[in-house]
Amino acid sequence: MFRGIRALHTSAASLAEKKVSLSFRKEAKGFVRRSKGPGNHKNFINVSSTTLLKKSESQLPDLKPQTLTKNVVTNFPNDSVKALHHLGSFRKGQFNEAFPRPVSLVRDVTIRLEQILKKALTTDSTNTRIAIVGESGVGKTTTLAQFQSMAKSHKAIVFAINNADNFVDGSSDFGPSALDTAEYRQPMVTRKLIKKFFKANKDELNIPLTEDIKFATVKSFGERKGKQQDLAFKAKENTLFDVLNHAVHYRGDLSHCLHFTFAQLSASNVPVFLTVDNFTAFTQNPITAYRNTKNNRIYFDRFEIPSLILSYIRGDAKFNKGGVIVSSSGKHKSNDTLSVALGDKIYEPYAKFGDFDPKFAATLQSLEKFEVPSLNKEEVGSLLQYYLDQGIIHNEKTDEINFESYRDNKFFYSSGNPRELLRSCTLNYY
Amino acid sequence: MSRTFASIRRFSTVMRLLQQRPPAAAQRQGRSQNPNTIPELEVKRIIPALPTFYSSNPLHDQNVQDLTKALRKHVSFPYDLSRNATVKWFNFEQYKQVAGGSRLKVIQHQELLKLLNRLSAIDPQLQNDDLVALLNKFKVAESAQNSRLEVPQLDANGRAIAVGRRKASSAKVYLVRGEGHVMINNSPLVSYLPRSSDRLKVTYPLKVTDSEGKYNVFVKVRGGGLSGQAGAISLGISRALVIHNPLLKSRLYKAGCMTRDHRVVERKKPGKVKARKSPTWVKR
Repeated sequence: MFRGIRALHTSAASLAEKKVSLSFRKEAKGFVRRSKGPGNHKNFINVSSTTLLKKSESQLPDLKPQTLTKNVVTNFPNDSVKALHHLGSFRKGQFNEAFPRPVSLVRDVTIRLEQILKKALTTDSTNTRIAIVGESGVGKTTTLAQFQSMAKSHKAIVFAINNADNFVDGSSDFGPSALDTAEYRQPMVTRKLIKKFFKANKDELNIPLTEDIKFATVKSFGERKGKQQDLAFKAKENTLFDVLNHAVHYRGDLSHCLHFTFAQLSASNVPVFLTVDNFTAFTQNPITAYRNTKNNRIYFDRFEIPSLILSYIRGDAKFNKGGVIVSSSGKHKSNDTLSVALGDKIYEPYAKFGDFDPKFAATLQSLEKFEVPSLNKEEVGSLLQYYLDQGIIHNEKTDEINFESYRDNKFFYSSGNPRELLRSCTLNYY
Repeated sequence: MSRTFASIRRFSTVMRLLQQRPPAAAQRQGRSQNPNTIPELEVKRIIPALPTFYSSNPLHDQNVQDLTKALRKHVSFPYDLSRNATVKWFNFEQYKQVAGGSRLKVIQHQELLKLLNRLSAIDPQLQNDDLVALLNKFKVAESAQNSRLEVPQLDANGRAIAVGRRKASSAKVYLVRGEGHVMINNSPLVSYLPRSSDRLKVTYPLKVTDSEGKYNVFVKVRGGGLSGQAGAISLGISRALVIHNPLLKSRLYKAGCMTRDHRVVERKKPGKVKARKSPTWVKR
């Protein structure tokens, strides 16, 4: 006969059997995980770039726009190197771990860029739209990093996109966009960009807002009940710092936040530089790896961020002070699109779309060509002297070498290519 | 009856012809003075100048015949083949001009050289004038011998031009005094040869002679793959360095830079899958 449910007392609980330990929980049985010895699950490039960092002090001068001297190896200044790390200006294959801090050589191109920067600090971005080109390994990314460092020294805001491949190779998620400017959005990439931008430019983001912005509260599945509480940032009361500080922790879509940020930066008087590295990802893959509902591949300017970049390149949108700098990449196969746009090649009317994108080339015609040449002998000598002083050359007996003939040998072998020069000094070949 | 008539008629024709021609005319033209010969028939008879006229290469065969005859005459004389070390005979191209032109084959020239070397190896004190004259016909004159060694020179722009080959690749190298710039098929060294091993091959001859920063190199290369092209360029640079400074030859030889690498792809043989690989052996 049913009498009702008896309450469960603690005394009853103490009489209950112990919970059975699950067999796969070896630690619960007292099993101690044995160390598997030295080594890492990461591949070599990841290990070398993160764990083999040299710890000694660096005696080099800092890269400062006011005191640039040709053929001198300089450090990136402490106040900007952290920001550059956040922006992704230092790559994994650049052997930066061989030095206490990332270094670069001051060349003619550095001095020219410094002059361009000075001019851009007082004029709007339509006057400074540059494409950095050159052969593979010649130092385009490093030159761009030098520009970003000098811009940070002038307290400018730098919005850096360090790898345009992320927008076209299909590695990110994508979905329909709620904005008028584009058809598709890429939430993961947008979130990462906003985070990096915020971390790198915290000190310069105290810009009062000129418009309001609202963030709709995003509730998890269990929290769906209750009143929606949106968070609003008001014009003149809050700053861009407040907005982005909230955005980096916001779990919802950030497309509207990104566009809002750009709108605020365009309206402010703080110098803003938009830099895009590996820009030739757009020329090599204008038709991205993403597919629409009809299973057709999507052209890259249908996405929010690429269309935003193109609007600044075209001049449809502009910063009151600042510029747009894009850099090509040697890893992308050479294409006629950028060459024709910059005036290096003649337009071929019968070229295939894979070789020449006429619509994109017309947009790129507003860019000014900035070529980075190979190193000359003096520059090779300066770098070699630094490498010898740092003791990073282990594949030769450095005590017995004649410096001039060694320099000539390296110049001949590398043809003045900085990447090949550094590789020939640090790597052993058989 | 008709046969008798034909023979009488022939005889009368002959008699008439004999009476018409004076014997002195025949003598002046060097014909036989035999009164029974018919001068007109003598005029129309063409005799070849050489007994080897009907062979495929009469001039060469005549030379061989003369030399073989001389050898048969002097076969028992003592000879020493080392005497031929300093003798320069006509090379193939030079002999071609006097012995049949396009009819002459390389093996015929080699046959001639064999005979000449054998004859000139005879003790000089036992060589008579006829033999010496016969041999001298095929010797290169001493002044001409020196001019045969054409030493390559720098051109009007101060460039040394040399060709190097490896496997299926051929490289024409222009080496000129400079600072150490390299262009291969209008591309820099690093972009044309991305592999470091290939670049080391190209720089090795200059490293051996400590002249990396002293010359500019311009190369036109084609054929084969990148590695073969690098080997061809290396040989070309070595040869061009020797043109600039012949004293570097021994150093480059010792470093192995002057040796043409004769290894080529081995041909496929019948019954094999590739040059050496055999098809899978099947027991039954």
